[in-house]
Amino acid sequence: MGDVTYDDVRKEYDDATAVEGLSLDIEDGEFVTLVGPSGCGKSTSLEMIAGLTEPTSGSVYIDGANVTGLPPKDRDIAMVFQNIALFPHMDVYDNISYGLRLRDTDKAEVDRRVDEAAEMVQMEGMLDRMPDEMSGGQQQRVAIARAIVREPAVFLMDEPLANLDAKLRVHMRTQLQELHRQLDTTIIYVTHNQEEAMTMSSRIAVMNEGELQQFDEPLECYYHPTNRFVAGFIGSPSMNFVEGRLTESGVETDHFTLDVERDLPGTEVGQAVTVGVRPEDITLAREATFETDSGPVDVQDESEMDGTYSDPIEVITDVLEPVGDDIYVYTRFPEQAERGESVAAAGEPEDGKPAGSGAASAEGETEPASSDDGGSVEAGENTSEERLLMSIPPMPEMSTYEAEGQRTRIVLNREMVHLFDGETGEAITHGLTPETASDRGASARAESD
Amino acid sequence: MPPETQGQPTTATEGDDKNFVQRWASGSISNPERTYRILFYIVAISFLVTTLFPFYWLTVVALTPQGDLTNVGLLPNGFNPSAFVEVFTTVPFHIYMLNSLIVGLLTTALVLLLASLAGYAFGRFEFPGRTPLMLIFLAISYFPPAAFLLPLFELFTANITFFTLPGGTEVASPMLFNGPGALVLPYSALFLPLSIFILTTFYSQIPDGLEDAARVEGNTRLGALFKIIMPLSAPGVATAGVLTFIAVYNEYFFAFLMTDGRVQNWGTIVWGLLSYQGRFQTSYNLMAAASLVGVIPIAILVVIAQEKIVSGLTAGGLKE
Repeated sequence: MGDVTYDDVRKEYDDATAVEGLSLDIEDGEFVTLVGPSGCGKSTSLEMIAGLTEPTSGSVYIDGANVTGLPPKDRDIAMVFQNIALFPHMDVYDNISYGLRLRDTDKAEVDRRVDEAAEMVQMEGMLDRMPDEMSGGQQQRVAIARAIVREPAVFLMDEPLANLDAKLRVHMRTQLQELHRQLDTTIIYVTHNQEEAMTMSSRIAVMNEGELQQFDEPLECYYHPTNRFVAGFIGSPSMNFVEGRLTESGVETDHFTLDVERDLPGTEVGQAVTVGVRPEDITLAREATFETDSGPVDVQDESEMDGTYSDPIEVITDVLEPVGDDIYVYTRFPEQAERGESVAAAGEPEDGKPAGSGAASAEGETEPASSDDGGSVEAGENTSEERLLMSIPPMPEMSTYEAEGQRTRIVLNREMVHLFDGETGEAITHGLTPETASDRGASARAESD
Repeated sequence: MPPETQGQPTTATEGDDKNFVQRWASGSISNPERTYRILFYIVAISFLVTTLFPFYWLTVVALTPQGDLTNVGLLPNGFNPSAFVEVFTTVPFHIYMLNSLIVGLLTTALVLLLASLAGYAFGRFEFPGRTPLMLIFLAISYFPPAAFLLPLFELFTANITFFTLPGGTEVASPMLFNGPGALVLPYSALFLPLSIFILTTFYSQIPDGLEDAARVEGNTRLGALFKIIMPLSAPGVATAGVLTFIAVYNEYFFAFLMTDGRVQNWGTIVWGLLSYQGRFQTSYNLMAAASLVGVIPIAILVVIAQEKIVSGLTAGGLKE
């Protein structure tokens, strides 16, 4: 029916390569999201399925047939555009039925299918409206109806929700999923918003600089990112990275050491690695606390004692961001000289790199620009050199959070610590303990398949 | 007139020693709206007088009986409305008008078709040499038509041999003189650049997304041009079409030289008007009446097109 295959597709423009050797097999009925930062080639890739852009080399197959070079009208696809692109001189009925009328479909059949499509997007009774008489959400629903009315083999959606406000976007997101369940047709969806990708897709294809980074189920990308880019792009707030190197017993950074209790094939002692850990896998150490202007923060993870956590690491709190269901705590590592002092550091901390070349996380060039244009709360990139972002549960009794410069101790959940090659960024391991929960889940999924 | 402009002479009370000009100047400074209004009326009235007076005077001449045409003043010397019927009986003026209309419509259709294709290319594609090519087009439209006349006349009277076939047969240019082709072709060439320029501007403003949507929905590029881009550019298409039609309808130079002026030989309005000029007398009253009749199609066209242009502007609401 509607399986789509990219076979080593390249797209070059005069001065740049937009897509580089993309190969992808999308199965019939899948909801696949192409996600990546602006300019990563995801929209170009989508347009090459649509036929609006022709690849420089390589082929695109839809339903087993090579469609490279065919005009869009002969590809059995429908597309929803970011800028909605309803024909402004036609009313809703004419817009929805445009493709059918071009194909000389029987009038009664057109009416039936338009009604059906309008009902599916809950726009019945508005068929005689003009596009400029409708709200953005209604216009986008009409655009979706225009796509589904032709019953194509593949739906292409190019950031269809990007121009809607945050609340409507979440609503439309569930509607699209509902629609996918009803239609059971392949949907290929492009977005730069990793949250949309995570929530809607059966599989997501993470792209960066024209290259496919990972093509996997959303949670696979989350728990087992193939490289540092995917790790940093998927998940919000994004992963913390600290540069370090391998030792006999584990990993050493300028600020802490972690024990590794599993074999790391293909690595050697002394090799540069990047330690990646998500904010939600950092917690306050046992009995550690810090003062804010409205009381002490002392929430700890109860499972902390079971040996999967790291030794306490000393940090200094910086900024707290309460976002409602979480509190984001930006911390920084104390400088070498300060370390071990038991008194809370007073006054403004001085800037300056700690001694040693492998300083804390640097923003690599592959780091995604976490862009979310409007609405949904997303913490900024924790990319500053010495910062470590920790996410802790909310404390409803507290009203404001001012806790700059408090010394405290944190621990990392070693089950959820990722190691990446310091040079290539390729993942070395996900989890430092012998077996992690996500490993068990993955193997269970593999068995049930 | 709104009351506030009338009730402002009080500024004069503060200084009775000011003369009229000083009072007027200070009044204008404190209330510039009044000055603007006066200037507007001056400009509007002089414009209306210069454009409408010829029509009035034509009416006066047309209504004056043939014998009283000397010393026509601002009022007709008599009343002879039958001139408006005589114009059609003395000379088949309606046929001349029909010829003009047909030539005008043919040219407009050809120009809109070609200018749409060119405007699409110029407006929606980047290609090397786009700007120089556009400038050449525009420059050509300002060449004096007389420069083309001799070569075109030779070409359209079958006097140019392209090549000789092996058998000895000569392939010459077609004989278009005294036919619509001799008018439509040079007109199209001359008026095309302006239309290309107008349509380029309009077509380039149609969002790419709409064209993409049309193509995904099942149009070819040309289909998208004629079904989506052209309707959305209705004001531009109407402007280009009306300008072309009016220019052709009024054209004198080629109309006079590319036909011999007989009505069956595609003589246009120009020839119709001149045919009231006999060897011994010239029926100025009929000429005036025929001129007024000849204006009617243009007047109707402008009224209709204006409605189209306004509706095109308001119905659009192009949302990117």
